[in-house]
Amino acid sequence: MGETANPHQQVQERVKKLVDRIQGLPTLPVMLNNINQMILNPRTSPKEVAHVISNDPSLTSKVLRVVNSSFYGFPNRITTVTHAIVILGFNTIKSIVLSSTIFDVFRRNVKPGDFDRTQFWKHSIGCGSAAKAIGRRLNYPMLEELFIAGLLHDVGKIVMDQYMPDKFVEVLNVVHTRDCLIAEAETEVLGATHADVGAWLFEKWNLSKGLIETTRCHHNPALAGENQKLAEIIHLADILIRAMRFGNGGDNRIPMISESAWKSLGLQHSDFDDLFFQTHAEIEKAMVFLDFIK
Amino acid sequence: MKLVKTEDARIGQRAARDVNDLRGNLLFKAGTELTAELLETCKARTISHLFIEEGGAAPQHNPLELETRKVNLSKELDRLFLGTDKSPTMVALREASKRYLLGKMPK
Repeated sequence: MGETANPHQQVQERVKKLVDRIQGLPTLPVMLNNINQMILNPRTSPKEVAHVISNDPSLTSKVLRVVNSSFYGFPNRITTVTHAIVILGFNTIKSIVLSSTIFDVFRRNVKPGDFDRTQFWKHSIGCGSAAKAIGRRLNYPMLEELFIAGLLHDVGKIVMDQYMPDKFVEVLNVVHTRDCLIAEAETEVLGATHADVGAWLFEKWNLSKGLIETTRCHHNPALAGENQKLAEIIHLADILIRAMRFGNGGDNRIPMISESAWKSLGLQHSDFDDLFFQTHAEIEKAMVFLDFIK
Repeated sequence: MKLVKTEDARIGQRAARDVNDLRGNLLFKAGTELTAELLETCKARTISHLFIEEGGAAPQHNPLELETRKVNLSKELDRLFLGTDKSPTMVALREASKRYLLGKMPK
């Protein structure tokens, strides 16, 4: 992707035309909406949020599995959602619920030859892990936010695969025939990219501005406004994980790192070896998320 | 038979006992040769240790075959990075990627 983007309004028009064709796109699950509302209220207690989560046994089990995994690495076992919220805070629990919900919403039976969801989620988990490794290197204060932004940056691909499968097959055929980046094929076939569609979904779901802009601008982080740093990290993480050949997001090319993002992050070429090593370690810890799709 | 940490188990070794997940579902049977995919499944299911057959160490690799795999991997990375040579950052990334991936291959 180039450094300069199409004018924002034109892209929005194209995304609107595209998503208008999508029938029955899920709304934000009620549970997540309730939790979002509760967290906005400063009087909400961990016990109240835990009560909402505990109404869903499957979600409760997932939350406890993640908080007890090596991803967080607590020495003692956490046995209740209330305890998990007290230790990790509302926002972290919300992130776990969000990622778990998205894995569930976009679950479907996949036939051989379809877009490989397992490889896709491995790429996404890898991107989140790489984002954490980069963030740690840069002393970025919210590593959790980086992981979730990396995990969900490509969600637009799943939306297209699930809700406009014929068009998405066309996109994958262009990728295969021309050996190009998937975003280039999407622009040619659909007039908009997975980044636009993912951002549109997150906007519709009223998720955080940071997540929306990072998703929209992960191929062109200079356009992310006040979330530029976050978008730059996800941009680099996406490319790092491709270079590590962990998972696959639907194409077999490595996009260029934006020179302006690279300068802005202030990293050195000699940092790559350590970033690979640290990302590898983060992936080992984050594999519990892959269990969500099984 | 020996007990090893899952992270220390190697591709090509054989499971000495059936491996079940924490819910008791059979993942694979005793005698199965460990693959990268199976080891990943074990890690994803938080299986911390595995019983491995003694003497079932990773097979010896033919040096010529190994060298061919390394050359092919290097070529594949050159293909993935095609068209990025004008950027010193991308060249540095490609070389780091080669060091990382070639370093993961059996010695």
